[in-house]
Amino acid sequence: MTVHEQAAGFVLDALGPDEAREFEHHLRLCPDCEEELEPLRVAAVALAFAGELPLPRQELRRRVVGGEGVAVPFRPRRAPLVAAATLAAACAALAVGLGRGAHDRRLALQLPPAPAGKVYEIWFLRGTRAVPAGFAHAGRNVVRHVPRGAAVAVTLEPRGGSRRPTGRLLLRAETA
Amino acid sequence: MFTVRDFTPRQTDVERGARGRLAHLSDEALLALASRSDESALGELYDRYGRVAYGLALRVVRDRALAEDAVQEAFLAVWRSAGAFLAEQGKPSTWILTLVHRRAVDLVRREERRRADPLEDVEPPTGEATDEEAWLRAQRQVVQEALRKLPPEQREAIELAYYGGFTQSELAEKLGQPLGTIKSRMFAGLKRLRELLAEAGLEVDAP
Repeated sequence: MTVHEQAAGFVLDALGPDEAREFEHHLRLCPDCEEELEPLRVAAVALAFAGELPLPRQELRRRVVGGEGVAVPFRPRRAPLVAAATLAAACAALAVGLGRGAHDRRLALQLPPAPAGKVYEIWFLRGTRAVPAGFAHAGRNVVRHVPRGAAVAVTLEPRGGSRRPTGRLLLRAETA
Repeated sequence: MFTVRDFTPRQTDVERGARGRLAHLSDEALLALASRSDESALGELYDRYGRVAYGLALRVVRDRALAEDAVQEAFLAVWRSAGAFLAEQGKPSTWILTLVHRRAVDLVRREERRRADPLEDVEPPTGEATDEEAWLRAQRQVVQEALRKLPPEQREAIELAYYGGFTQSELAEKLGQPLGTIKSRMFAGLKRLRELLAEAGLEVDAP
């Protein structure tokens, strides 16, 4: 098995991190490989069409494209400072970057593991309304499109998430 | 030499007309608009590929919230990298679904979820007799038929890798085979799959 023949594993995303890096390096030096890759990639992507395709929730489109969302009432609880300090002690870091266009407003989160049975849920806040904006996972950067003029909050919710914030407000960041 | 160049969902003019002003544009044109921060172009790309993207992500991560995360992050990458992608060759739909798959695999590996378990209660969509439904059903049949024609051990390696998110090394262990055997099966299987799909008529761009 030559590195050239790793093309199948590469397009199926089945290489380990080191192998994938090695193959990407090889690709830059091997025009034949690059040419060979695209048809294999198309064949791999065809596999996406082989299963049932349930309709995604409408809300996903709003998350992707950055619309207004379905607003639900939001009643923030007190003591965000205490919670923020707790998270800081656990190496949490929050940064909100502003850039051109709504999609360049992003939230970078570095979170400690959530307690058992809980998930971090992200909310976009506008006035007194909160729009569920997905989940954050421990230890990885989460990037979200933040709508113009919205603030961002993170709460701990029961596994599976909530339709409206019920847990303690852990973080709140203004973007504008 | 077979080449498979196209796997783009087709829409009738009626469906296109029912959508926004961008529905008549090619994927490449939409990417060009998206690279200049046109959000409606991103929305149109989502309307074309969001359903397949979500179905793929859900099959890999087996969790609705994680699947949505994978799709959202992939489209964010589309938004950011549209301009760079346009400089390369290749179909936008292939690129988008490649991004979705990679995100889904990253998530499922990070979560260390049990993979390749049966997916619970994914209800097939109610059979609306739209052209999109008919088109998707036809694609599904073609791909499933091609998969059935693969030697079982090649099919197994491909399906566990693509849908289960297993690396080749993990598969070697799981299946009790040498790593080289797994790699050979994957390579031979994917090449054969490409040929079978081409034979089934997926090698030409339809008008």
